[in-house]
Amino acid sequence: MKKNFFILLLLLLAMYSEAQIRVLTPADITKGIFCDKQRFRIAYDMSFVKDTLRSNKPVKESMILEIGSSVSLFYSYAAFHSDSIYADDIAKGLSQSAINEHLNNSGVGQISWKLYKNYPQKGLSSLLDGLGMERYCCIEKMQMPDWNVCPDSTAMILGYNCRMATAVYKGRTWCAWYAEDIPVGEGPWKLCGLPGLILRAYDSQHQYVFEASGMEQIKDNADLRYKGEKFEPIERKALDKLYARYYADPVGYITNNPNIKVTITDANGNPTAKPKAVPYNPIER
Amino acid sequence: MRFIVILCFVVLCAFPASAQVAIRGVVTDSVSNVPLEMATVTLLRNSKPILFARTDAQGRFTLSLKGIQKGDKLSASYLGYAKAAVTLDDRRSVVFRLRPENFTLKEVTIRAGRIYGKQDTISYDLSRFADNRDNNLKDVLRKLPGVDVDKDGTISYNGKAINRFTVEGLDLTGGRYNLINENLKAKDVATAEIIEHDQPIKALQKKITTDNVAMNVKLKPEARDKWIFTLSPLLKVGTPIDNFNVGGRFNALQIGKKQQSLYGVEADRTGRDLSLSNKQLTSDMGTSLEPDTGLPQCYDTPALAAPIDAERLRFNTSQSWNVNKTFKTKDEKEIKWMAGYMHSSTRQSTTNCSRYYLNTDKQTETTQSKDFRLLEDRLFLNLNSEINTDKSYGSESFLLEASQSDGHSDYQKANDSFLHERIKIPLINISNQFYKLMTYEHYTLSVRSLLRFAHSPSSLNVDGDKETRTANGWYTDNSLTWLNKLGFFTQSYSVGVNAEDVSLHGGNQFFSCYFSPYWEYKRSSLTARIGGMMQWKRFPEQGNSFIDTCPWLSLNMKSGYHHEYSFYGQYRESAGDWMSFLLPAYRKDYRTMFISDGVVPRTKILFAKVEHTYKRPLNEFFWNSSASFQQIGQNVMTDMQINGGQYLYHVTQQNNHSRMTQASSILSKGFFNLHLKTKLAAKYCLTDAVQSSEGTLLNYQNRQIIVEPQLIFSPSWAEVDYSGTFAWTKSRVKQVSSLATLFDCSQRLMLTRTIGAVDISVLAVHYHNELQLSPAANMLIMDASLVWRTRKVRFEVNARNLFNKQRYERTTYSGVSSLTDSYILRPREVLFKMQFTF
Repeated sequence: MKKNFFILLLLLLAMYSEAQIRVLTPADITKGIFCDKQRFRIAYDMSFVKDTLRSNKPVKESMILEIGSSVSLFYSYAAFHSDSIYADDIAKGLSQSAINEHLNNSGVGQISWKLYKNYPQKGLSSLLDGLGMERYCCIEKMQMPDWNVCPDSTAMILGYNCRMATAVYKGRTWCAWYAEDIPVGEGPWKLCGLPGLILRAYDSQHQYVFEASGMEQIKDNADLRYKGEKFEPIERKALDKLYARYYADPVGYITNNPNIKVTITDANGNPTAKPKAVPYNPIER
Repeated sequence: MRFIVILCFVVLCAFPASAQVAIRGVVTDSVSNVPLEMATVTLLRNSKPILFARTDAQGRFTLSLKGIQKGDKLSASYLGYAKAAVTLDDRRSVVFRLRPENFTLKEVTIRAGRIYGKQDTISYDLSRFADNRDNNLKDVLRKLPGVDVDKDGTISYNGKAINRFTVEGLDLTGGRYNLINENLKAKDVATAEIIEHDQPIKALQKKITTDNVAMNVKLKPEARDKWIFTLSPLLKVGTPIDNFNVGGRFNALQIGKKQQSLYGVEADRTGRDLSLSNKQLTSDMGTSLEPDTGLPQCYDTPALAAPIDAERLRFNTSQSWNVNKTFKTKDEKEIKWMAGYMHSSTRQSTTNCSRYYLNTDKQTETTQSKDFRLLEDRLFLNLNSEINTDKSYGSESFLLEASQSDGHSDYQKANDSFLHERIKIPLINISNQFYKLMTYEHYTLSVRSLLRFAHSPSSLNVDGDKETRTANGWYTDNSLTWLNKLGFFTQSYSVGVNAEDVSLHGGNQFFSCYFSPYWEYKRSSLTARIGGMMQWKRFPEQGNSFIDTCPWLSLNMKSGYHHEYSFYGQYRESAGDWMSFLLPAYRKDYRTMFISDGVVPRTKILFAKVEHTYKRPLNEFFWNSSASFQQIGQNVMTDMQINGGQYLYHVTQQNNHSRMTQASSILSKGFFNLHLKTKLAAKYCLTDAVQSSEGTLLNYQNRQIIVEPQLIFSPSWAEVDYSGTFAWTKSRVKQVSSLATLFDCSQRLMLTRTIGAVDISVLAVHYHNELQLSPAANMLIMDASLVWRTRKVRFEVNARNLFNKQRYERTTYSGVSSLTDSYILRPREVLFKMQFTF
């Protein structure tokens, strides 16, 4: 594993509102620790609003929910795709320019976090995320939303009859449609605990919307692996502070490391100001 | 009292009305009777779910509801079992025994095209930043963690200058990347990447670790293959308003994946160093541990002395032209040609007073007052062809450089007359480099060959007394390398021959063969490298042969999340340095003579360095510290004699040692809530060496402590940037004298305020220099600037040296001397600049 070999993809400062700086480091291409066998894989389309002042321009991302017998993993497909390409290219010993080419074509995704439910043990969840070059793992007690079922609701999603339930959870009012005929109490992000699999979920302001777009039953004994073994443990409060810190002044955050000097200039090499208060709309409020 | 009783009664009566019914039960497996945990039990009313609960580890559940209606059903479900439902009736306790049943998910295939998640990361909205300052590639690059861009444009990563700069995978300018950085707009750039441990040779990837760093820039599709023109005229007004000067810059840039071109022309009279646009900022990857040092020269190339920002001291008229073109042919070959020409005329006026502490009773002093004019012409042509596949690599590079430095100096003599000195150094340098690498099943083999020819008829003219020294030189270096990697271990062995022929004073050559092994062990947190070189070198004319050994060791270890340690040690032996023994005697400049005993110098260097990095990003704290030690032993010494203002240097055989110890530490802490970032760097350096004068050996010691604080305060309405350098220098010549501690400090404060599309900034720089001969010199220089950005044009007004300071003075300690220099500064000027892009 090349600990010193990493690619930094910088998406322009001007694109802060839409894009994300994602740094790929060797910690991202680890094989991971085995934690469960996969039983189902559900694909979701996640659409979320980054800038609450411009809520008519949500960002879309494909997400995957891997469901095992007890552990589940929710992650961005685009990020997974680019991580796999990166790992593959490194293993093949491709040149840097070929790797850059592949990554540029695939994109690196907007969602850098991965959520493991019931890992490292039942009742705990692990959130893996990275800011700049640091990698963090936040282990918290899993809190199931306190759902209220709406008996008169019906919807047909992906050929399944679904019922709706609502809950006030982590600062938002969530509506979730679950499939009664899929008795798996799982769903996207931290939403779970319903009698069936959640196929559609959104908050009351439609700032976060999850819509299942496909599902698959795993027959090839695939593993569910934990990829955060090299990530630094962090408390929830500290992580929230870091997010707030990062988005308020991304350049300042990166340059806390004195080896990093940042000067922003305009098109012709003349110094200008640094970006402040990049829009940030966390899923937990 | 009665009221409370009634109230309690009413409250108590209220309870039975909300009759909470609890329904309990267990859910088990019907075959094994094992209780099922996390099974779901739902209350259905008219086939609609009302309430649900999950079973605990013992399979038990409890449902609390207001009331049971007729027809209410209870249903239990669990993955891998058939659903079961019972009508509740009057039961309050239910036991479910679920029958195992295979669950088959009705699979849904995702609609093709969506799953590949092609993120549209290129869509952005500039209107959000309409009132923000635009970006330029040079400074976007500075945002990359660890990236630094120097004044001369060199990009460094974590303190290491990058070795390769490419745009869209092609190296357009062959390492002269300043031009690209100043002309490529940030809005046209999609990604910029830093590649550490860069190995541009595809066939060597993953086989050999390098410490090279590379940078690659990719453009957005719409910016590719289109011409980008930049025109920036400039008007300079001197104050009082007496002279006007016009200058400017024009560039045409086109970047594509298969072809790139860059054409530029610039004229300047504001102090800019135009040679930077043609300056090669990357270093070549070579295998020879003794690289080509160039043709030996008798005279020092005349140059501008710049202790502070060179732009404040340079009085110039310059122009530069350059052409760069690169393209990829069908068979993946990359061909590029680059050419450039620069002409510059620079003036400078300086005075110098040097004191030498050679013996206890008297101090020797020399003074110099110099008016200097330098005419520089530089032309270069570079042709390059490269083929880079996974299995092989080949590169062929041809370089032609023709330059002339013509320095005219007028020195004021004691009787107010002038002495005129002219040093003219024309130089033609032609070199060709060839490199070929082939991969076989278990190893790779590479061949490298360099051939260089240089010719330089230099001359020194002192008041009509002219002396010409023509130097011709051939240099060649050829090597063969075998490399193999197995698991975590890499090994490589090189053998080579190199030779040089110099005709300066008759014919002189050296001839050497060398062998260089290298081993590398690399795991996830530890990298260990050992290498070395053994060389046999012969100087036929002098009849000397030497065997040099140069082993080195490097270790790097990462421990936990926060610590990183590294160690580097090297021992190096070398022989030769033409100018120390080639010529028995020659005149170096108007007051310096150089004589030599003809002994071939032999040098032995021992060097060790340890480094530690500690970081806690959560607390915004970083700490980097390092210490190094170096000892140099030589068999020759340069004896210095000064008589009546004339210098005589004599290189004689004399064993001597010099030592240097350095320690440095950088601390950085951020305070997010206060919008504050602070940094403190401290460095200590101790040098112990010997100077010989008229046969007497003088031991001297030089100590220096430098402290550099830095503070950035950036609330939303402004930015305040402060940085300071405080230096204490102490020098001691043993048995002779101890010099006073010099305290010098320079501080820089910059305030910026943006209102709409206008930026106003003020810069104040303060220098405090303690001088040997007079009281301390204090100088405050102020600049102000105003920038107005519109969509197509950028206007800038720059006022420099507002207080019209004339002169900068400072003293430095060097060896057994203390030198005091004084420089004339550029006067107060106002510059008007406009920039168009189309």
